[in-house]
Amino acid sequence: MPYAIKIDKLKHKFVFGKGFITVLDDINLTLESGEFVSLVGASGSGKSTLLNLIGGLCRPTEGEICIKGELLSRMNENQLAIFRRKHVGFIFQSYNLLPSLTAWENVALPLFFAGISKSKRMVQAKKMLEVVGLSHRLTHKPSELSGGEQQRIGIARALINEPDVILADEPTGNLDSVTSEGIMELLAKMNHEKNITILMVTHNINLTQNTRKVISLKDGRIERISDLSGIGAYSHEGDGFL
Amino acid sequence: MNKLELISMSWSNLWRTSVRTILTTAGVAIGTAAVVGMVGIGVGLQQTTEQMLGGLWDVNTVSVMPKYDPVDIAAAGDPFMMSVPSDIKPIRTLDDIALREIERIEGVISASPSLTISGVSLRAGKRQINTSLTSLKPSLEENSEDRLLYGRYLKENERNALLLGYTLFRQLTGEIEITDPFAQNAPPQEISETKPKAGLKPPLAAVTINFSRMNLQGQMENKIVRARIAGVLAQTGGMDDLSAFLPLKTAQTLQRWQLGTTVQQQRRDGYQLIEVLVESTEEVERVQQIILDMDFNVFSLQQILEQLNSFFVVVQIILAGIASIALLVSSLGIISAMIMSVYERTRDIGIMKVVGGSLGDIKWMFMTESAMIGFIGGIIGLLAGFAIIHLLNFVGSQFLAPGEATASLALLPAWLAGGSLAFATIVGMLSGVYPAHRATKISPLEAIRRE
Repeated sequence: MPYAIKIDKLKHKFVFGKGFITVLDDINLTLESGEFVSLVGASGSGKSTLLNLIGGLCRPTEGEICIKGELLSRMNENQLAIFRRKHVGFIFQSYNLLPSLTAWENVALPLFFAGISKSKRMVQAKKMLEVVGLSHRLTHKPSELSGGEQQRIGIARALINEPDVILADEPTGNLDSVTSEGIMELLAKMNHEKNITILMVTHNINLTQNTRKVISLKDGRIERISDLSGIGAYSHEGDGFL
Repeated sequence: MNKLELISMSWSNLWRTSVRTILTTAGVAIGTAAVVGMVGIGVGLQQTTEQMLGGLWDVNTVSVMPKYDPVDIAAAGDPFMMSVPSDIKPIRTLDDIALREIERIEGVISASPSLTISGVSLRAGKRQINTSLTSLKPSLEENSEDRLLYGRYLKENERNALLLGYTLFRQLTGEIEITDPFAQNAPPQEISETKPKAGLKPPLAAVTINFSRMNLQGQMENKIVRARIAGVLAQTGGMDDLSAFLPLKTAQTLQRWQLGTTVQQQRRDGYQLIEVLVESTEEVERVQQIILDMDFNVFSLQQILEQLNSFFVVVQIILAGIASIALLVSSLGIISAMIMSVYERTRDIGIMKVVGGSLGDIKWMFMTESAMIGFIGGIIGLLAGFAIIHLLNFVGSQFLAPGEATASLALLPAWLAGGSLAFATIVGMLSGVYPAHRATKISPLEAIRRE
């Protein structure tokens, strides 16, 4: 199976005062296309940083990230933006929608930067809002929508340019359990139907049940990779968080 | 990213902070209005001056005079060349050969010697005017009837006939005071009378001309001639209004009498002035250069206008420079408003970068916004400047005599309107460069972390 994400000897340090904090150390990881992977770990274990590095939002101190055959380290900031536009969809805990735009316009925003005509992108955005079950909220501003609805818009926006990879940073972190379930179902459906690779950072152990692989980070290193695809075979192994 | 959509997006972005946008736009508008108003005054002054000069001289006429060797003149003891002593010969005589040569230049309609007979007085009834007679100018020989108020033009060899200028004629009939040469206080109703009545006989049929000369014994001699008034010229506002014209041949005969010379002598001395009428204003400079190369001196309104133009260009640049200060100050307003806008939209910018907005997209978004402030301010300023110019002209016209009301104090030519609008837009756009650059420097990660 072709890989979607390949990470090689990744190391990331933050400058802190006069010294450094090593956030990620010696990360080697390969995710295949169409995998749905959870990234777990305690606060400060480097989950979000890993996600941001994969999305090209910041640059690693050392090592290589390769997505769909493209090396991120070789790209300048502009090329990274175009790369994100083509290959990556982001979903955030705090949704990160533009407050001045309607649901419809928020979803269509990536297409706007891709230079797609207004009529075309509005048709596509409408379709995508139907997929996430929000076709009745087209002209609402984010402030007029519930958290769950806002996150659905965020998902629709992440999906609209048919990315290869979706990077979700605690997508249900601000939502109640019932709403969270709906969001997880939606992500699982997208993963299944469109064969999109999804890497999801989560605190919620229950959510990992939806995913086929769980990567746990500890102090910036991969502690364990558990494959759950074998019909819950690993769920009884007692690896600490199930 | 589509440019047209960029504009509509910037438009809606601008109105998110409407008060700030209105204030910065007002700054640009004031600056633009200042530029338009100030330069408009400069342009108006230039045109008024040109019009005034155009009334005094014909724009399409080149005056040709003999050229003298400055060494000869200096030797004659007149370093300022104020007058040329009669015993100094010009470098080349301005004679009939030269006249024909000038006539053959491409673009020349006509060239005719101009003689001025001074020591003349005209008398009609009790009124007497001391004046001079001019041989007919080429520009008056065009058979354009609309330049005539009464009567007709002169025939080539006509004797004892005059063509009179408007003011001179009115002075002879007593309608205008003789002491009032420029007729500035001419009653307004007279303007309606300047409508051509060519063909109609002038109300005054004839004048008595008194020519005088100094004879060899140093005594004054007089010669009195009765002359018909063949025609009267319509008002021009220039020198022609005060002139009396007669055919060249007649003028030459009179000159011989006045100077006591023979036909041969007159021919050998040549003319002191030849007036050349050129097809169009554009041709004047070329014709002038050809005549200069023939070793004659030239004078034309065009020459004066060129010098005046370069003077007015300097005046306009200075005025524009002063007014631009207001526009530059307004650009500081745009810069600070845009920096604030970038700061407020840090998170939005971050999100845009995350979903694939390139640095160019972000940069152009802000530059379009500031360019729009410049453009809209420019349009408002242009309208305000237009209003200012009209107000100035209205106020100005209240102080001008009715006959001069056509002159404008200030003008708004198309180049000024277009130029100031473009300038305002460019100032706006350049004001956006630094804020837009700051926007591109925003780290998407830092931005989306902000709550």
